[in-house]
Amino acid sequence: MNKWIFDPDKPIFRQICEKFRDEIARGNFPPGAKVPSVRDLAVFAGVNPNTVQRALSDLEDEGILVSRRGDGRYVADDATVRDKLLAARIRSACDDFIGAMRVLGLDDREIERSLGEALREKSDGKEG
Amino acid sequence: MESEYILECINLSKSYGTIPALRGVNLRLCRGRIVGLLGPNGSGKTTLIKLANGLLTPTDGEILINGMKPGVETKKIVSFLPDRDFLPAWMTIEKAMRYVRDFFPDFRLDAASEMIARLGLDPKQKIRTLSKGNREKVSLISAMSRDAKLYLLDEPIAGVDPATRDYILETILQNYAENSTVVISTHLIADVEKILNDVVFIKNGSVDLYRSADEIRETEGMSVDALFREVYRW
Amino acid sequence: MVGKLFKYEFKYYLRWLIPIMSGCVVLALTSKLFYLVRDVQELYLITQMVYSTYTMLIGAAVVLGYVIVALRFLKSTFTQEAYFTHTIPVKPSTLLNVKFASGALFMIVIIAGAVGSFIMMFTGSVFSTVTKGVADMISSAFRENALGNFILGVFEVILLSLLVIFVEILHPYAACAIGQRMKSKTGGAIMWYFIIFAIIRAGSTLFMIGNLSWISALESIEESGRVVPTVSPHLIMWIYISVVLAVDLTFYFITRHRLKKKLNIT
Repeated sequence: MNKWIFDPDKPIFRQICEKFRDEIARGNFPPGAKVPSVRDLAVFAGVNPNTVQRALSDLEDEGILVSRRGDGRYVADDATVRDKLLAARIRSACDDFIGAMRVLGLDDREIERSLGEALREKSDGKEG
Repeated sequence: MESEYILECINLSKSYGTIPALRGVNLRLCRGRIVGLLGPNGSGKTTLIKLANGLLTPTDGEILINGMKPGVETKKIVSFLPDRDFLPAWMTIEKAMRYVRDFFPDFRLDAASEMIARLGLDPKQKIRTLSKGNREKVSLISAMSRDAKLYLLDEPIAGVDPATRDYILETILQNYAENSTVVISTHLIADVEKILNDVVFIKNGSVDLYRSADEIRETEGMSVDALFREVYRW
Repeated sequence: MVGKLFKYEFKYYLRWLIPIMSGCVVLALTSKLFYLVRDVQELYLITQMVYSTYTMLIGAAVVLGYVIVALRFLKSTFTQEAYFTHTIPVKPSTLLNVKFASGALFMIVIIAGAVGSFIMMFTGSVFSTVTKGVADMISSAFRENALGNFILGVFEVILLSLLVIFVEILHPYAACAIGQRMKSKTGGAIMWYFIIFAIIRAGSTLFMIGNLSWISALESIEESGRVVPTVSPHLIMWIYISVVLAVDLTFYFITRHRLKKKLNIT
């Protein structure tokens, strides 16, 4: 994991939550993995421990993390958590893409065609 | 724990002769927070911190640490990092650490020694032979190795390169005691705002704002640095 | 905590004491050398030069001692190490007392060394001279049935000497304590040192005049025509002691008050 960069214009605790959801969706934080302590995370991220605490608390409320008494926090053991996060990520990226294409004035069919072309070129590039 | 607030300023004023440095400041800081005392040079930040330490006496109003006036009992629980060298320059790093430990029983000598070693500094080196950056790091280490209830850091990152700055912020995060409050005074807001819980805006001796950093980001949609520029635009 | 304060004051003074004392020992040994050849006519000029130089050096060592004590107070309480000194959890009065006691002890040692060197210079040895001198004085006092008087006199001299040493320490202390209000702590201290100096000078001149006229007013003339003061020398001593003590206390309490209530470490 690279050191996290935060946008100072947005609440930091929200960004920490985002990063966690991201890392879990990508599989870097597998189900059941132990989450580092609040202080270690704070030092690593270069942010205030209270902010980290709040973010982790929120993630707990969402069910993404679970805390075991006296043992710290863990990523939820449930594999569906990861699936849901991944699905949400994918959907969000798609929405962004579609939005960007609409701004350029493309309709649905043009969007599908452009996407298909781009994908094919990328695959060709890989093979070639 | 006696008082609800670790630091309380009640109508606090301080003038040097006829020049006012603080005008009727009212402020209450809670425990367990990292607070930024943000303002331009000459805004009264250092004066406020020195009043908390007992290095200055108020012209009017009161300042209380844990409900007590600055004195022997408050000095036991306050760790001060001034904006200039304060360790005796003729001492070696090792001797200086023992010097601090001699007067402050809550000083964690082993933690300090470890940090010095990790910096690659020779503990037998005299402080005056160190570079400016290293002297600042050693000063910081001696301040943060204490188990204080209130840390007052006066401009800890001014005049250092970005790598040293990162080291300083990291050391602060790594070492401050649980449930204690850290006050960082600085005019370099963008560099520190991520580690702050709460921010205090101060200019011309008056406190103009005291809010949580994330709350500012949420409600104003901008960074603390951006808000500061806006508040003090005129 | 008080013990630690003393520890660091002593460490500081020891670093100065060692070179100064070594200097005194070197001076003493060299003077002993010249003392042994003091009767040699050919070396007369050199011997005289050596004597005057050494006297000056011994005097300079004492002055240096006072400067060291004053600078220590200024540096550690108001300038360089001020931040650390005042964030230590000790009462300002404790701080003052420890520093003063350490400085006083330092000066007593220095002056003892200076006096010792001086005695050695003119009599070739310290211990035998002092022992013989003291023995002579005690036996003559015993013979004249004035042993009690003698002991009292010795006590008065020692007390007065100590009080005078204290004044020379507390004077710069008070000057530092008042001058710290100014922007330049060092400048303020120096300025107030001289202001206080002038006040003391004026005061002691007035005191001298008053004293002398008072004593002469009480004189009586013996049959032989000799003018004899009817005032006991002990009374005079105790007047001096009281005055110097009053000055000491004034300086002490000024310094203490400034430290407790008017600290201004900018």
